[in-house]
Amino acid sequence: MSRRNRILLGVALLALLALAAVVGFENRAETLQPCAEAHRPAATYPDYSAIVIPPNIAPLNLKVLEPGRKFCLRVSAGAGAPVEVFSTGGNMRLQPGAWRKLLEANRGGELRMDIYARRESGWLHFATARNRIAAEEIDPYVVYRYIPPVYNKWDQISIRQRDLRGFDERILVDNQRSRDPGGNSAGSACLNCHTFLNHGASQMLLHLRPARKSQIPAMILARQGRAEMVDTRDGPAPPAAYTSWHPSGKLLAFSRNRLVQVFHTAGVETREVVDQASDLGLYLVDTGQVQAVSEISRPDRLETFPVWSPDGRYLYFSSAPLLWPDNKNIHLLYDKVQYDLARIAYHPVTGRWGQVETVVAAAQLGKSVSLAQVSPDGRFLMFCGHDYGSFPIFQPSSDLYLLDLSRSGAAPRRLDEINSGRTDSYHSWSSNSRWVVFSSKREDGMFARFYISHLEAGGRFGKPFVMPQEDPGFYGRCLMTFNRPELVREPVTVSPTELMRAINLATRRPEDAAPAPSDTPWQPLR
Amino acid sequence: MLKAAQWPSAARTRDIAFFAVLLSYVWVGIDTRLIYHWQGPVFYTFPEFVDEFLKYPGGAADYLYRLIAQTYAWRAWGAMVATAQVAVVAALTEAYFKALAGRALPLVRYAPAALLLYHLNLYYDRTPIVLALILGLTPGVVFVHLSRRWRSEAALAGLYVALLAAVYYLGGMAIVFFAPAAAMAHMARRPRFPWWIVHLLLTAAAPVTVELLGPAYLPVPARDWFVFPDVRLAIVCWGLYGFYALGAAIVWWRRRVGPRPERPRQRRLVDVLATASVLLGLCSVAAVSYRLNSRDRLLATLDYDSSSENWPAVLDASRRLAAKDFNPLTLYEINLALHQTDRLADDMFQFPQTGSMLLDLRVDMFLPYMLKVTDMCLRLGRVNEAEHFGGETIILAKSDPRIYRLMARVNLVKGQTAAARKFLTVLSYDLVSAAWARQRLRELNRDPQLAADQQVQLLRRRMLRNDDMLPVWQRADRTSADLDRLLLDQLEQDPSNRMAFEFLMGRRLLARDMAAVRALMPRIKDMTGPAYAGPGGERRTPLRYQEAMAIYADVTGAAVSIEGFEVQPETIQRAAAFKAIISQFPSRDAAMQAAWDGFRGTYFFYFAFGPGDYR
Repeated sequence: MSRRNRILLGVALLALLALAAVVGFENRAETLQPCAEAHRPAATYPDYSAIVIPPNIAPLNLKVLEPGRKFCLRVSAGAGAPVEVFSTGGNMRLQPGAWRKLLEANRGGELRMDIYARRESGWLHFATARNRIAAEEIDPYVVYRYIPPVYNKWDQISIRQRDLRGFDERILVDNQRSRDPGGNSAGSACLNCHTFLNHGASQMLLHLRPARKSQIPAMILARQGRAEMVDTRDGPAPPAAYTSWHPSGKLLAFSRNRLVQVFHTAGVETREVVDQASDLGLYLVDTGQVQAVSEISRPDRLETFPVWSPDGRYLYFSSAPLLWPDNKNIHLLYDKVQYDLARIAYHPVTGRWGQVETVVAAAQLGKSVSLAQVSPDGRFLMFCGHDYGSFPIFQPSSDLYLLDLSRSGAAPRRLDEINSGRTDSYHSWSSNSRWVVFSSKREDGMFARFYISHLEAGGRFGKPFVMPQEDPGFYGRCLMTFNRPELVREPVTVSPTELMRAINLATRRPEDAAPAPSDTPWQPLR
Repeated sequence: MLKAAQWPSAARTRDIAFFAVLLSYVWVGIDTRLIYHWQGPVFYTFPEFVDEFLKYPGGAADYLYRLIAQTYAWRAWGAMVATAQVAVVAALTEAYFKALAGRALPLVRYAPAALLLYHLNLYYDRTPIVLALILGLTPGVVFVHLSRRWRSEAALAGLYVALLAAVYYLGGMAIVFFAPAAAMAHMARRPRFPWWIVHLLLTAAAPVTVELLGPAYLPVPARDWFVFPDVRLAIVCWGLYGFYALGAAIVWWRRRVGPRPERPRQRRLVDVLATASVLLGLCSVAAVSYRLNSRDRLLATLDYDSSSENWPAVLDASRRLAAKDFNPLTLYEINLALHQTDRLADDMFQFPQTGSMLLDLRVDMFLPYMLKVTDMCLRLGRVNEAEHFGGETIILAKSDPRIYRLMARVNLVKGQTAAARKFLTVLSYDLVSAAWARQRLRELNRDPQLAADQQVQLLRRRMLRNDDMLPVWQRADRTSADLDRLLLDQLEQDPSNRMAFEFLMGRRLLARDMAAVRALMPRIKDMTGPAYAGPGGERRTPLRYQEAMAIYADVTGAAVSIEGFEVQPETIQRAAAFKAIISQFPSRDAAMQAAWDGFRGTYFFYFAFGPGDYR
């Protein structure tokens, strides 16, 4: 190397070192004394104050929205060393190791978050945010769908798994990026409705809605790392859509929905999805048989959103009278349909069904009931209540309700402590029944985010907080929506390649050459 | 300084002349703003954006390419940056062949520059080919140099593998420019042992392995570097591959047969001739590519000017447009420009009205179409439709800032400021839109309801209040939207909606539905603007509307009496004159010929002879 080149290299290295030193200097720790008191809480995003957090949650990184030249976040609790972080830009990223130790040492205790801003006159201290660390952990993984705010084009759909204990995220399957062993993707096929058995991840299923003429709608069933394609169509009947595992793992209840997507010319929400027809059915996992049950597939009613009780003795579902038996005037009647919450008894050994009974009458509630989920301990049932129909994610009126199943005749309670003025919808219980994660569009009405809330002993929920991200500015510029959270205790084992292999088996056979009506995902009304 | 002093002055003069001509052509002839507009390489400065590019081979080059392409949004910057890239490639090409041949080959460096000039004329290409050249040639030159100095075969093989891995990771298919140099270097070093085959096989194995085993997602598979839908792009890329591979082979062969005996040369004359031929070659390539791509340039210009709301420029460009290029998109853009310049009601028949005036409300895979559909809905006040089509376009556009701008506006009009802020926040990380986005965010902070924003207030006034359920337009073959109904709804909502009125009237005029034209005409009293006011401020009826009513009166025999509407006596006289002319000729062609000079551009002419290019 010539002398000139050596000098140039030396200068470049010195410049790099200087840059590193400047950055380090800017964010170095400082003494916070003396400081003035602001006597008010600091404005931050996200708002992590007065919340109850799981002891195994990722660091609650936040951005300070106050003026200042430098900021400090000090997190402290009764036991263990406080965690302190300094930043010039206000992006406070906590050190994960120290955070974890602090939470572990203070289960059930208080967690204080103190924010300081350095201004011309010195450090200013804002009112301490007091949070509580719950004793119970949340299931460590949430599996969700990451999508743009779609109408009917599905070019960027992925199902992801986030480790809530940190910020690791894994793409389980992506319709464009994941490849089967032959190197093929699923194209623009819609991947949806991932469902797990008893909060475990070894048995999972999801659905494929085709985008190409060569594909058929199918259910992808993954067990112990292997995936298979199941064709649940039955003549003209649509394929399975919303699905629930029986706790035994031997049975799946599913709905067949013929959907119509229509569009509002005025109002906040532009989209509307209506069930033109829907029934429930069963899939026997071991034999691969599809069964119809007359009690829950009545021609005069719309039945959807099946969910098993944790003991497997009841199947809960939403049910409404069919107002358009001739498929006419749906656009005039769609907002008159309100679904009841119903259930039907089932004997797991004999396979006998009881009578359908109404659990929550829509007429009484004044709302349509959808997306019921029973807590794993069987005590509570959470559902969405909205003005009409069965597609809460497109309805700003959608709120979460809780029904105490242990009290006979108890009325459902609207969960005002966690609802917002915008859509609050899909929810998932943790396996210990102490946490729920739900999707909410409360920030802007367009992009759903996940909120986590703790169920207190009296049946009330703690103030929900948004699922933490490593970069607190992430949500501010994320134009994707977080959809269908499912809490699971363990990571999913099936690989993207294996899932894509099964997905790409869903190709049209010669006998399917004439497209069945069910193949059309969204059908124009007129 | 030392190098500059040693540089032959003739070569320097040649370079200065060459790149000055190139810069001028890129600036004036190509106009990099059109490349940016058509290609729109998306680039954001937030951290997650760069993360995506670090995950796959060639991502670094893609990232850098996108960053560089942002300068194309400004004409002068874009020309300078594009020229600088070509200059770097030229310098590397010289170094490449010098390293292989062992002596300078002064004119060779201009050949890829000429190909790249042609490449810049292709307004559609997305391939970061220039960066691939830079990333491929640089290690190629390094390898050739070191292959002469290093004795150890193992060390050289290790160097090759390391460089191949680095080039593949950073530049992806840039390896096609690195591999020939490395192969030739080894061939020159050990002619009897076919190491070069091993080199080439290893090079081919890299992308094949990655794609087959799938350890990384490749947005552009290797195949797309060799198979092109556009033959012009194929010429450029295969021209470059062939140039470097064959060039290296020729140089190697020439070295084997030994140098030719030196002949006495008239150096000065040779230099002058060389410079002249280089410049002539450049000018020829520029002229040919300008001519070959003139259609693309014109279409890009029209769309760019329309998107930039430079309406006179749209009309100017449309005059040079061939009749076959009056497609639904350009036709809409021209009619919109006429509307925006208050000329639609008077001058629409001066342009070939060969299709629908409005874009069909359908989902199309052509991004400019979708952007315009969204924009059209918003302008009309069909705000929910704008949101609907904008949502579809987001997926098609893959983070294109133009759709985010539209969606920000849609949400601002709807009063959904939190969602608007999200789009604006993302745009504030886009180098081109950042200033606009930050300005909008500041305005939102000052005035959350945007009460002082006249454009927003106008669109809110036009926005529908009554909900209606419509089907989702999702297929090209199912365009069930009733555009006339849509426009009427808008007029019911806001009777002064001039765009809805003029486009609806235009559609009825084109359909020659005179009863419908007559029925709509009373709404003219709500119209304002230069087209409806005379020089003294008095009410004015646009000429084409007068002509239509003159025809209506003639056909029905009923006088037209409409508030705020007047058919001038001159129009009646012209109608009679036109009728007299065409009644003289039995054949349509002859009648058209006779009326051509006096009536071309009138509604009489359109009504009689139908749609066509009557410019």
